[in-house]
Amino acid sequence: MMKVSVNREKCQGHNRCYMICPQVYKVDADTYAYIEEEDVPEALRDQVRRGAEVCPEKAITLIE
Amino acid sequence: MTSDVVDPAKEEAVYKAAAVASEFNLMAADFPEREFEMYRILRQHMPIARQTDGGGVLGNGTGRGWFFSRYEDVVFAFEHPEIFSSATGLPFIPQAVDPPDHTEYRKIMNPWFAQAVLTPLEPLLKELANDLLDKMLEKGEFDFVKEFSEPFPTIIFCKLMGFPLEDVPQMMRWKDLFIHGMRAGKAKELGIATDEAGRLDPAAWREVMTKTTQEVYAYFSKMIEERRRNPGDDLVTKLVQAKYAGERPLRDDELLQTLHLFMLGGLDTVTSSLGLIMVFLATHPEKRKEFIELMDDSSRVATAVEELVRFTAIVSPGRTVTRDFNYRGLQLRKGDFVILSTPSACRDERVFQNPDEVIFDRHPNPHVAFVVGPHRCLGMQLARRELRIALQEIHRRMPDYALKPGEKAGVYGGGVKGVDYLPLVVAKG
Repeated sequence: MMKVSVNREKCQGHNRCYMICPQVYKVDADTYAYIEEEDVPEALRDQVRRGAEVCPEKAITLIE
Repeated sequence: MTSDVVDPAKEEAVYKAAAVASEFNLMAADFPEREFEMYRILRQHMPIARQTDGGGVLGNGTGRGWFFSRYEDVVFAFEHPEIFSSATGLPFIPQAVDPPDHTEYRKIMNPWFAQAVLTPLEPLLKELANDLLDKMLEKGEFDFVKEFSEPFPTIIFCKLMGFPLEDVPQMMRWKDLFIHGMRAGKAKELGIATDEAGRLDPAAWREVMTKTTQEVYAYFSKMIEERRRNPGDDLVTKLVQAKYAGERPLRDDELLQTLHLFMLGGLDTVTSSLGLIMVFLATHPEKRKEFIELMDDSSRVATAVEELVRFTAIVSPGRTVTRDFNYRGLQLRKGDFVILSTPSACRDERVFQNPDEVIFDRHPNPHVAFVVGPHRCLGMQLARRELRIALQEIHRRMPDYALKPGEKAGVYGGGVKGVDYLPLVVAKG
């Protein structure tokens, strides 16, 4: 099972991950990303990976 | 043995890089024509190049500066504000403030530009775009900058701020003076003294800046007073009610500096970005057709807008080195100024394949057009929405257009690039 996490220290609130996979990447009222459920559903793996790859702050970690 | 072999082609390339670096000037009139070729040469041979400061107009007047052109180096500098400081002495909050104060200001302001706040604005943005399009299409032939890319973000800004819409032209003139007064061609038009060769007189420019700042501050002070008496549902009201670090209200100087920055950031950047995107789409009909085909797919259009933003990145922010610092063998000195080119970083072939091509479904596209690190663009979510809605409505209403025959778009370089003239002709449908 793929796991995803957002480093909240690194995240600057670009929302690029959210724009690609809002089902997994959430954004709070301060614009920063967070994860509600770290286990990534099989069907969303590709989208979650794409969301991580566009982060200009490299704030997202995937463990496969 | 092989290390002694001299490759004549490489030798020439190094001389060419030296030539580019020696005359490199973001403000030069011919800069836009050669811009991306020069960036490419610098990225390859002189990724950190000496830069003069344009008589103190760019930089901090010390004359010792550097131009960063590679993605990796630009990102490093943006992410290390303790070495590359934004404290330029300019009166802009939060842009010209470093962490930790910067962090406190952004805590106040970030929520005003969050997704949940901006989504409900979309119908308004759409309506405003269509009002402008109605007028343009009646004409059939127009300057896109005057008719759309300047007024569109300005009207939105005034609406968000709660400023009367009759002040839109005044707002545009003020931001022109601040941002474009230093450009030789524009300075003359704005009534700023230039020498016989049309070059800007820095002293005259600073005088105009001072006078304009006074006018703008007087206007903002009036608005602040009004909102203190009659709170509304606008950003000025939010500012006067804000608490710094949850403790004290913002002082008047903080309110003025923030509003001043909002004005410059909100008005000019979308104008520039939208203008440059439209120059590209007007001159690349096959790409325009491709965009029109995907623009109603919400996921594809979001990716496409990011690509257009990457391709037309506009800002090359300045930073000041806070202490002697050895960066990859290069000795930076305290007080040196540094220019971080997002237009070049966004075309870095080390990060982006075929960087000079617009690929609407490009992936990955970790562009830095909105800057990275603590100073990433506060209004980026608003900017994205403005750009997407403008592009969707424009292409829905006028899918077929071209540059007016025999004319050229007025693209200019500088710390904030843009286009001040874009004559378009719409095909009769």
